[in-house]
Amino acid sequence: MSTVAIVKRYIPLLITFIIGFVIVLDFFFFGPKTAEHDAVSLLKATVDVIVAPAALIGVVTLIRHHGRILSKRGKGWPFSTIVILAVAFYGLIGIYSALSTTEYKNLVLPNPAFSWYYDNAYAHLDAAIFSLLAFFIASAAYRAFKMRTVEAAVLLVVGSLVMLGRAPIGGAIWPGFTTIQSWLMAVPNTAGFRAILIGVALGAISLALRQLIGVERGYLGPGA
Amino acid sequence: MWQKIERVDRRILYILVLILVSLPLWFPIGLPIPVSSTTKAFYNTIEALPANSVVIFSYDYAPAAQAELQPMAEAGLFHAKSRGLRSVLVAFWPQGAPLAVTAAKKVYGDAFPNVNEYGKDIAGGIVLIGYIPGGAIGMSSFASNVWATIGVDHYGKTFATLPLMNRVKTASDFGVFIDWMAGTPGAIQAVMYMHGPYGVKVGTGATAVSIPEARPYYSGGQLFGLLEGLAGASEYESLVKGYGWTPTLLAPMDAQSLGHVLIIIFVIIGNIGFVASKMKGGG
Amino acid sequence: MLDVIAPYLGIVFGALITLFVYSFLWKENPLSRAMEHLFIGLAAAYITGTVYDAAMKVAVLTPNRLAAGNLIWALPILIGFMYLFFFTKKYFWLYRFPVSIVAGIGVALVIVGNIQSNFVAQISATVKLPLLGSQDPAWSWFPLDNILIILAVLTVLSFFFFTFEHKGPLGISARIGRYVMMAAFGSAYGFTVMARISLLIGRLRYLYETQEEGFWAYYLIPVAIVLMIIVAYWERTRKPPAEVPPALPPAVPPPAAPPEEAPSRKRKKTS
Repeated sequence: MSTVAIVKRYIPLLITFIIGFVIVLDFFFFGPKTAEHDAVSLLKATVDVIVAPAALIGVVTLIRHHGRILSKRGKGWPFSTIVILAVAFYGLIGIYSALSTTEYKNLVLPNPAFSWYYDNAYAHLDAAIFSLLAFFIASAAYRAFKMRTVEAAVLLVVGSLVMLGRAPIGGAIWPGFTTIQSWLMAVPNTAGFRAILIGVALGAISLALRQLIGVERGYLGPGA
Repeated sequence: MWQKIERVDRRILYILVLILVSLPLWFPIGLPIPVSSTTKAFYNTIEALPANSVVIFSYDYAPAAQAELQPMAEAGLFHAKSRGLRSVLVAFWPQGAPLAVTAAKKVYGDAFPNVNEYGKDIAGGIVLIGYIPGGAIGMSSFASNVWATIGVDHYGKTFATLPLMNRVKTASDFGVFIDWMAGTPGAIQAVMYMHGPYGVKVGTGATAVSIPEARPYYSGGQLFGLLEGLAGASEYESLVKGYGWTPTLLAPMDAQSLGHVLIIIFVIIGNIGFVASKMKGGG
Repeated sequence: MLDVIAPYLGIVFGALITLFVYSFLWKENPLSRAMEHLFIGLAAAYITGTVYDAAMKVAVLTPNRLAAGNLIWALPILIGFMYLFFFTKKYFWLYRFPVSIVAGIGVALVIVGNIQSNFVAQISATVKLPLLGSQDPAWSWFPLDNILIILAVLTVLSFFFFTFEHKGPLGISARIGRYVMMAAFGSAYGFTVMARISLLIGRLRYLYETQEEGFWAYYLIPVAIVLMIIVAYWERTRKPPAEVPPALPPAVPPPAAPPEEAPSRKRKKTS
C-alpha cells in the first residue's frame, strides 16, 4: 500500500470512523455534564464551521457555468448576464454591509441594506416561483390523476376526502367530512407512514453503518 | 365531446384557479373554522407552561413557505409574549433568520431589537440568535451545548451581555422547542436530537406537505402538537385571539376551501372523461 | 430620500416580480426567464453571505475564539475552504478531508437518531396501544382504531418483506398493506394540494392587501400587462438571429494519385 494511497484514500475513511465512533459513544455512554460530553459538544461546534463553506461549491459551479455561457455568447447568454450581475450586485451589497457596520460586528445578515434586498426581491422571487405549483397541481388533477387501478382510486378518494375535510367548507357542507378526514389522518395515514418510517430507519441505519466502517465510499468522490 | 373536455387548454384551468381563489379574498364568505385536536394540543401545551419558561422557536423555512408558516410563527411568538414566556429565536435554515426578524418586528414593534425586553430575563424577554450553521449537525450541537455552538446573537452581541441566555445552556433548559418546519432540518430532526436524548418537548407548525410524515411522531407522543399548514395557522389564530391577536386568515381559508373544491371538481371531470373515453373505445 | 422611496420601491419590486413570474403560465417569455435567473443569482449571493456570517459568529465572534486571539479557530475555517478543491483534478483528494469529518458526524447522528426516534419509539408507540380504543374523543363510539393501526402497520411492513414470495397469507397481508399505503399517500396528496393552494393565496394576499400610503400593489397589474405585451410584440417582430451556416470542414486536397509502379527489375520471360 503506497503512502499516497494511504493519505488520499484511507486517512479520510479513518477520520470518518473515528469521529463517527466518538459521536456514537457520546450518545450512549457519556453523561450530560461530563468533560467528555463537553469535548464532543466542542467537536460538533467545530464541524458546524467546517460544513458552512460547502454551500460555496454550488455558488462557484453556478458562476463557472454561466460565466462560460457568457464568455462564449452561448445560447441564452443574456440570462446568464443577469445571473452574474445579480451575484455581483448582491455580493457587493454584502461586502459593503460587512465592511460598513461595526454596529453589527461586521456581520452581513442584520445589515439593513442586505436585508432590504432579501425582503423586497429574493423573498418575492422565492414565493412567486413556488406558488406556480398551485396552477400545475390543478392542471395535473385535471389531466393526470386518473383512476386507472383500484389503488389509484383509493388514493384519489382518500385525497379528496382529506381535502374536503381539512378545509372549512367540508365541515360547513356536512360535519362528517371533518370527522372522516381526522380519522383518515389518525389511522391509515399514521399507520402507513409509521411503517414506512420504520423501514426507512432500518435502511438508513444500515447504510450509515456501512459508511462508518468504510464499506460504502461513494461520499468521498471518484477514486475513493 | 369528452375528448374535447379532456384536452381543454391548461390556461383555462389556470384562469379558473386564479378567479376562484381570488374571489373570497375580495368577498369573504365567512365559513366557520373548527379547531382540530392537534392544534388544541399545541395551544394547551403552551398554555400549561410555567410563566418563566424559555421557548425556543426555530424558523426552519424559506420565503417559499412564508404564506403558510409566517402567520403561525407570528401568532406563536405573540402567544408566548402574552403569557410572559421567554422566547429565543433560532434558524437552522439560512433563509430563516430574516423571517424570524420579520416575526419579531410584527410582535415587538419596528424598533426591534431596540426594545425593553431584548436580552432580559423578564416577562416577554426575547433573544434572536439567528442562523446556526450545520443543519442537523447544528441542531445536535445546539442541543448539546448552546454556548459552545454559538456565542453571539444575530446582531453580534455576546451571550454574556444577554441575561436571558444565562438560563439557556443545554437542551435540558428548554421549556419547549417549537419548529416552524418546511423540510429538513426540521421538527423530525428536533425529535431525533432533542426529544430523544434530552426529553425536550417538541412541537411543530409545518407546511401541509410535511404533515403526513409528521403525524406518526404526534401519535407516538414525540410531538406535543401539530399546526397543519394554513388551516392549522387559522385555527391557532382563533385560539390566540383571546390574548388580543387579530386573526388574519378568515378570508384566506375561504379561498382555500374554494381551491380544494375546484381541485376535486377537476379530478371528477378528468376521471369522467377518462372513463367515458375508455367505454367508448372499449365498446 | 432613500428612506422615503424604499417602501414604494419595495412594493414595485414585489408586485412586478410576482406578475412577471406568473407570466410564465401564459407562455414562457423573456420576463419570466429573467426572473428565474435573477432568483438564482440572488440566492447564490445570499448563501455566500450566510456562509460568511456563520463562520464569523461561530469561529470569530464567539468568546475565546478568533476575535480573542485563539488562532486555533482558524483551522476549521481553512478545513472548510478545502471543499473548493472539488474543482481541481490534481488536488481533488484534499476535498475528501472536510467531507470525511462532516460525514463522520453525519452518519453517527443518522445511526443514533434513527435507532431511538424512528425505530424503537415508533415500534414502542405501536405495541403500547391498548387493543380497544379510539384515537380521538370525537369518535370514541368506534373503539377499533388501535387494532386497525397495529394491523395496518404490520401489513405495510409485510409489503416490504421481500425474503419470501408474496403468496398465501403473506400475499394477502402485502396486498392489504398496499391499500393502506395508498390511503396514506392519498392523505399526502390531499395535504400537498392544500400546501400549493396556500402558496398561491399568500402571493395573491400580497398583491391585494399590500399598500403604502394608498399606493396599492395591485396598481402594478396593468403596468405589468403592458410590459408583457411589449415584450411579446418585440419577440414576435424581432428578426431571428441570422443563420450562421455550419462551418465547413477544411478543404481536403484530392488524394494524390498512387505513385506509378517502378518497372520491375525482373527480366520479362520471353516465350
